[in-house]
Amino acid sequence: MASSTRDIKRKIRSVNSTMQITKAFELVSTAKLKRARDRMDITKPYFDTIQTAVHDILSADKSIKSKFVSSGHGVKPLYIVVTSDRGLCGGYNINAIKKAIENVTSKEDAKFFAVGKKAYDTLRQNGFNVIDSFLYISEKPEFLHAAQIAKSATSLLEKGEIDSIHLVYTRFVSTISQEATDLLLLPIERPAASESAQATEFVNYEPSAEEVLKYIIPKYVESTIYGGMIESSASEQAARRIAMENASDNAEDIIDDLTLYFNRARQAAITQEISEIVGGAEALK
Amino acid sequence: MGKKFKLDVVTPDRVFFEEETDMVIVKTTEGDIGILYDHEPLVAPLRIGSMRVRMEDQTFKWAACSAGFLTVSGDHVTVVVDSAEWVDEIDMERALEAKRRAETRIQEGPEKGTDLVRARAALERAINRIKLREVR
Repeated sequence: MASSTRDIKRKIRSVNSTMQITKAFELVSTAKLKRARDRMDITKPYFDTIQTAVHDILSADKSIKSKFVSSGHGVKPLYIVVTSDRGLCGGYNINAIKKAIENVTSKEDAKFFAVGKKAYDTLRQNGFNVIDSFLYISEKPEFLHAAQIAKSATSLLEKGEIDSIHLVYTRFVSTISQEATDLLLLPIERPAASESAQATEFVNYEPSAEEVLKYIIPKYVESTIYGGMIESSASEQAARRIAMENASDNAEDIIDDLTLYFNRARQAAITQEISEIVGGAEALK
Repeated sequence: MGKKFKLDVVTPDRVFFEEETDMVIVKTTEGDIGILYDHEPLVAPLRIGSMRVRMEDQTFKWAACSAGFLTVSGDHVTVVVDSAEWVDEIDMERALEAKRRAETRIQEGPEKGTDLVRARAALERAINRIKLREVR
């Protein structure tokens, strides 16, 4: 009996120290989440402005010709998968990776850019064609990183090694909900529905519509990747906070249960000891 | 003072300017253009250069901008640039340092794996900042 109470005590101690760690993680990611959200709020207007500008140009002028604008789906897609470098964040990484390989029909044709160690490891292990990786930047993405990724992706597209670029990132819906999203970056789909609304408005392009698009589209790719990475990093912290909160709650439950067992075992030991003493005294009479 | 329109200047790391003004002058790839109220709809790429915004007291406030683009639609003007700072915000030492760095990179040339296009752009940005700071 004595050994059993000792065992339980040891278990309680171990669960307790795990709980301390998860609690600390929770606090850290709460603080990081706040910072990541602030960053997201700052970059959001830029991101939105470019998005609207590109769509306005494309919907206002139907005659624009560019190799980056077309319809129809490609057979040689490139997926840019944004995940974290570290685990312990619930389903965050695996959801993004699953989203990326959801529509992959053949492993030979699909290429991958891994942003974050988790995507790199998982995709490599499963035999996907990871042609480039960007590690240790996903927690604090800088515009420079996004520009690099955009540059190598568009150069692949220009060489014809791929025919479409998808960005897979985790959309930040709220602090308790994040959603893995697959966004088609290039070629840009022409917005079709806006024809009636403002098609009549004449927009001037200086020097020409093609020149403007040639400049804006790389910007659009860069800023969308940047926005996606910023949003993903906020989502990562939110996911980790939730995961750690659940872990701490779980640990608390386990400790409660174990304490109950411990008390029961202790009481049983005392009762047994008393009955042994009483039995011994009876026998001496 | 003429009629006013809304001017937004956004960069990746902040909303730089979000107020009403009656005139802004920016440097497009074709040269400087001034935008007044009721300008026709326009989209144009911008070069590294300066931006002038006319303030309430009719003086121009100068800012250093790097590349980006400009959209004018109705009474709303949006300038999207990679970076922007008011002239009095320019960090002279940092700009000089950036200029030196870019120059050595260009001198070392491509054999050291330098991205010449990027180094030239960095040099142009640094010179733009230094020039604006000195003149204004």
